[in-house]
Amino acid sequence: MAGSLDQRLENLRAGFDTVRPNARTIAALRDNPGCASRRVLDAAGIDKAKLAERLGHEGQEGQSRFALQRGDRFEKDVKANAFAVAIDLLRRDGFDLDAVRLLLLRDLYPIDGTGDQDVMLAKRAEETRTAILDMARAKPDSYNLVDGGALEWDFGGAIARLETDGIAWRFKDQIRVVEIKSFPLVDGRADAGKVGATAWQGAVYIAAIQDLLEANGMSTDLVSTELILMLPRNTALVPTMLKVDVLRHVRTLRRLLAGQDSIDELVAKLPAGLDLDLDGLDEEQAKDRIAAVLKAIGTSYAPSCLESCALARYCRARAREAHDPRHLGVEVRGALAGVPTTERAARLAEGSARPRTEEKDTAKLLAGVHRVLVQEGLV
Amino acid sequence: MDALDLYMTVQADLTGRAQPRREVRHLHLEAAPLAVAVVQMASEPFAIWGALVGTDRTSPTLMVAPEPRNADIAFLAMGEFGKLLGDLIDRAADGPREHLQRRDGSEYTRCKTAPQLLVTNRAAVSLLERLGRRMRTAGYGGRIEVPEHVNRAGAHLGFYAEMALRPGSSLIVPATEALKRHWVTGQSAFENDHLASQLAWHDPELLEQIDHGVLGGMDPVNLSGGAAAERAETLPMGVLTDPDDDNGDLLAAVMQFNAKRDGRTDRRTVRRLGRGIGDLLRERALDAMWAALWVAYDRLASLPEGEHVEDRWTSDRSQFTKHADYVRGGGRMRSVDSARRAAMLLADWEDAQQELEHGEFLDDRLAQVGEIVAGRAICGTVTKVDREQFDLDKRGKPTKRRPRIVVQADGDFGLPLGTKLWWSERPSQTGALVEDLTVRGKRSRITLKVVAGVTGPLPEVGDQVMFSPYTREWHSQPYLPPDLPWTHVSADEPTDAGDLEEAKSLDEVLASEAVT
Repeated sequence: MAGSLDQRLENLRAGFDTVRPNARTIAALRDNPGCASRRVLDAAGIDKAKLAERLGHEGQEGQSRFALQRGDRFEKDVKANAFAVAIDLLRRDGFDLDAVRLLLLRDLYPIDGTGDQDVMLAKRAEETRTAILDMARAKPDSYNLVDGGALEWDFGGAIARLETDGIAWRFKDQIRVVEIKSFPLVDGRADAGKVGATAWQGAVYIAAIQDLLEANGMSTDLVSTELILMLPRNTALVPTMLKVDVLRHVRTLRRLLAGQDSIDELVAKLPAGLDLDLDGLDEEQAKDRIAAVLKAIGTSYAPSCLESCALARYCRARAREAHDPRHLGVEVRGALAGVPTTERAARLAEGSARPRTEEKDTAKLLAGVHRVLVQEGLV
Repeated sequence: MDALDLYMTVQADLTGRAQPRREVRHLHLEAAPLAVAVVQMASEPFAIWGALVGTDRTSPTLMVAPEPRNADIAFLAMGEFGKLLGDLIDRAADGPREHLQRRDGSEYTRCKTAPQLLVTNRAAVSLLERLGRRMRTAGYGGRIEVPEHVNRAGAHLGFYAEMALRPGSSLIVPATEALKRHWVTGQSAFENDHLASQLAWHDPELLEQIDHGVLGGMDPVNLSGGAAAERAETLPMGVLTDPDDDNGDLLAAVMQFNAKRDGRTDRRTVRRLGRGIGDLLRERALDAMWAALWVAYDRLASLPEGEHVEDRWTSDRSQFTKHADYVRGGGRMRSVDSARRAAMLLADWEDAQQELEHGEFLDDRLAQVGEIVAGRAICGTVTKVDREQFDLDKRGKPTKRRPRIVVQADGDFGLPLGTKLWWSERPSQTGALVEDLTVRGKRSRITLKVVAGVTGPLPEVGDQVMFSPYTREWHSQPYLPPDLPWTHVSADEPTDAGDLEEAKSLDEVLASEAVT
């Protein structure tokens, strides 16, 4: 195939709706690193929710405005008066801070549907880059806090720009990433799942800053892997902070990405002429075409996809049809290791199929259950 | 993963219907539990937005805080809920009691009944826990005023949320978890957290009882569990309303409510103006949740109760009595456990877990299957019984009687020699050590040396027997040093800060935001 990777992703997209990836999109990688389709679609910026809709499996994508209001209100509190509350919390925790010099990119380049969003994002990315490099060099009078930054992320050959929720902040000695979230820290404990998800998002930001520093010949130690979370304390919206070391998350992300085929290799699997150009196709033809693209690149469904991928319902329906044990969860899939379908598992249990070498352990277990159930008259 | 669960999951996937993993019910069911279907507003995790509560499935009480972000309005609903719960608890605590004696001769009592809570899933338990956390400490600093029964109800909720973690307890029943313990479906544990979706695998027809029309005219008889579950997933079954409803009718209704009440938070105004929001919450979430709770209840009630359930419910009643007496005597709950209490609690849960496993195994033939297949329990035919065997002393004189039993069984066993097993006919009396184990092809021959219950009845040749590690033994309390080691002393002892937090209310800001 000819042309640059960007060109080929553009060809695949063929005018299909796009959506900007964010740190959450990338953090979702750890849920299911094996899904090639998700990586390619994200790298190409393709709107998976729209694809799901065309496939007849639209999910609930909307976010409650009530939930957004809570987040916005809390963030506003923390950031009010040039981050006064945040500074106070940090100082009380023993951080030595300089006076803040704010770069508020959200205000400078709003992404609210008014201007050209790609242009805004590009400008943000450029400013973020300069500001972080200045920060790292400790250039006098440079900004030491970037809010609303956009960063560049290498999806394995394809570079994407991401809008971040986090804040990059230079303290005396190091750059720190701060995330403001509105889930509560109650009596010193927060929801482990939510802290985990935030840790992955923060790790994406930190990894991107590390990449930037490294590309400019600076030490990656200039950015701390200790993520700072600002959360409401107990039952109301009084802010408090929590530190989480995400070194492990950063390493895992890098390892996951390094262990994957490059986007280049994945796109190369597409037969010539197969793309997402759905113009002039009827409903069924469009479905077939999308399905063909997903099949060519490859998917790998797991129930955790339901939380993070718009295409999950489509993939689940296919896995169910095929009696692929993947849809029953990682535990079942692990326990059925080597057995490709539940149909085959049932035949192994009844003894009507001969187990292959890799199926022997599972077959013994299932046949054992079957034998005891029959013996005890339970089936 | 348990072998039986794996087998049944495969069957569920192929048949499209839930499969049993237990033959009998391993939890206690009250004739009239207190069912609670509750939702929060996505922006306020520490308040009831709407709830249907009651012990009679035909006439639940609706409780609504139309604007839960306002503390005064939130406490109207929480107070109402707290009152209902508190009354129920008082009635049980003031009701008839059993009079019992401890080993040291001191006397104590145990309530004959205890209220049982029925909720949709674990998310609902967490919401009740959050409500309890807020209600317990509310008003301690004087910023807001709440009646004392609210604080007490907060402690009750804390107790029930904690009991949700105690293995084998039936004081609070999250329906999804109770169903999961008795049936497996052809979907993942994550999907089973949705009550209606899990029930769809039991019988798609049940969905019609939960929400008429949710199947969209599809014939339930030929519908697979998976396809029915996909329809069921459109119903809110957790503690949140549908985001699309939030952004549509509900947001509009809340804005309208706030505009009309014009700053007023008195009960009459809130009740009069909030009626529409209550109706909406019922229609969009609570009615289906309420129905699903009772469908789940009926499914569980259709199973006969296991023999050991009664014992565990007795233990539940003891826990309840201790708690009720403590709180009604003015006791307060700490928000963070002391190291000592945490250690005691863990030890208690470990004992409770053992007791539960023991009970399930002995009560339920299906529970035994997984253990037999895993080689942890021996199930076979007795080929020899020799009562005239003795341990010998140094001089070769027989001392203790030690009968031998030989069992022939299918399969092989991963039991080290010396493992103590109990005869399932007399699981607390007849115990034996594995003395010898030989495997020939697919059959095993196990020699057991009886060391407990030697003079009592023993199996006879030809009997089908089971020997397993499951018994009931007395478990000691953990040894705790009189002084806490420094590793377990916290530098800053946690304080209960309730009043300060009530200083912030969201509604003034949010109420003024325009609807888009």
